[in-house]
Amino acid sequence: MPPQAADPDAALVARMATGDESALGALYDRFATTIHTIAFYLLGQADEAEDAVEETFWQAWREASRYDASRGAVSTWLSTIARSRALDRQRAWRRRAEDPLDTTGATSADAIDRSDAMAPAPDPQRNAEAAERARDISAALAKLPAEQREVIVLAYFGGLSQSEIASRTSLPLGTVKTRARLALEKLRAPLAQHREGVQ
Amino acid sequence: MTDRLGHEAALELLAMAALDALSPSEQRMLDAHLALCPDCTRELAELRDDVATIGATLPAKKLAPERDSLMRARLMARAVADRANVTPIRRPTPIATPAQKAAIARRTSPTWMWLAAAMFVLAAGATAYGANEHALRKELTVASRSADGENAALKKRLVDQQSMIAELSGPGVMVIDANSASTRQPYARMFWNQPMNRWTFVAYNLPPMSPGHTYQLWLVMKDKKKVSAGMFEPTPAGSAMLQATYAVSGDSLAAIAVTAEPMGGSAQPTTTPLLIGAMKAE
Repeated sequence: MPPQAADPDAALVARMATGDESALGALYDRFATTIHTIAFYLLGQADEAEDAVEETFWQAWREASRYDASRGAVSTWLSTIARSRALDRQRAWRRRAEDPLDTTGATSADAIDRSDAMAPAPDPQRNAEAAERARDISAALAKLPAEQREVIVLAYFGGLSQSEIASRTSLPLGTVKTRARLALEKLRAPLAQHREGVQ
Repeated sequence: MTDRLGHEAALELLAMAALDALSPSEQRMLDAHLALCPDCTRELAELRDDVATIGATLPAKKLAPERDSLMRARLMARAVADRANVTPIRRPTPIATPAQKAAIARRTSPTWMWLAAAMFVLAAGATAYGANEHALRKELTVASRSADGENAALKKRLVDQQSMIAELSGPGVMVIDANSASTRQPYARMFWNQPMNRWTFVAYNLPPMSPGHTYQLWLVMKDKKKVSAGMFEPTPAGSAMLQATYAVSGDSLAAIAVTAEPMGGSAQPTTTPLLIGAMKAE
């Protein structure tokens, strides 16, 4: 029996690597909601989130042979891809916001609005949706002190680098790093419980 | 900033690395350290697990069922096409008239992957996913509108897909099966959309072609005339797909055939057909 057979998710990825598209379907059935949730909270737009979901599973299909179980669970691998694809879109919005002549996608005003995942939206409905997302995120990170939560939100959901976070919060870079590390350590126990709960 | 990173400095970066919040230069330095430090590698893997689980703690946001089914079908179709890695060779230039050549050029498909994908979506829509053609077109149209920065390419693919669906499912479509008696049992099917003069040929289990040779598809007329419908090479898995535009009157076609020919093709078949399929009597 191959080593990955003990982990049904890893077995699916191994089958994908051999060109078995039914394994991709099974992986999609298992993780589509999780991936869509991540994409939705990072992007806040249903259509953008759906595109990110499709890009995630497509990348997983194309790179299945490169999946290394020793570097993390399939759920981690997929979540990392999903977040990367969503952040790519966020960064594209930011680039367009910084370059008003780049009109290949959203308008500059739209891009500026989208450039901060936590920023309130300009119309009432989007404003309410953004507020609801912010509440959900705060609830998910409720165990963290506010200053650590801010760093995690800016990094995870906002896609900012540590230098950008330091600049935005006017904190020394060392403080930003420390807060991120403390935050993840604090989240580890409840997150581990959550992982066990969903497996 | 030096290119070397001490263990303590690397430890400080791990949380931000797990959050993908390092600059490229910081990431490169950390990667160099990770290559030599199993402790940091292990710790980073754990932190990545933690980061990945943040998303899972958020309230679940499900895709709408119809969008979910469509996306699943689309992914499966792309995977099938990707696996087949179908590659067209070229159009049947010696036979077509200038007007036909122009028609072929206008209708050239950008990617055969999407053509194969459309075929799969068509089949999937008819069975597992229950999406009818109208719904599929409507959903794909919506999808094309929402694709940020890729609208033009997506719309072109949509047109290709709709064209493929129309070509394979129109009222005038005839299907010609071609079989072989050899042990590996190559198999092919030709979809002839007579009103549109479009030919879509798919084949499986084709043996690899010897160097310097190519497969050539023929339309065999009742008056014994053989018309080249194009050349193709199978994928390593033995599958192939070919499309052509060529006008043939309904009662003049006798059969289709596939032969092995020297690279570049032949004006007339020079070998015994590997595959042959006769037109079924009406």
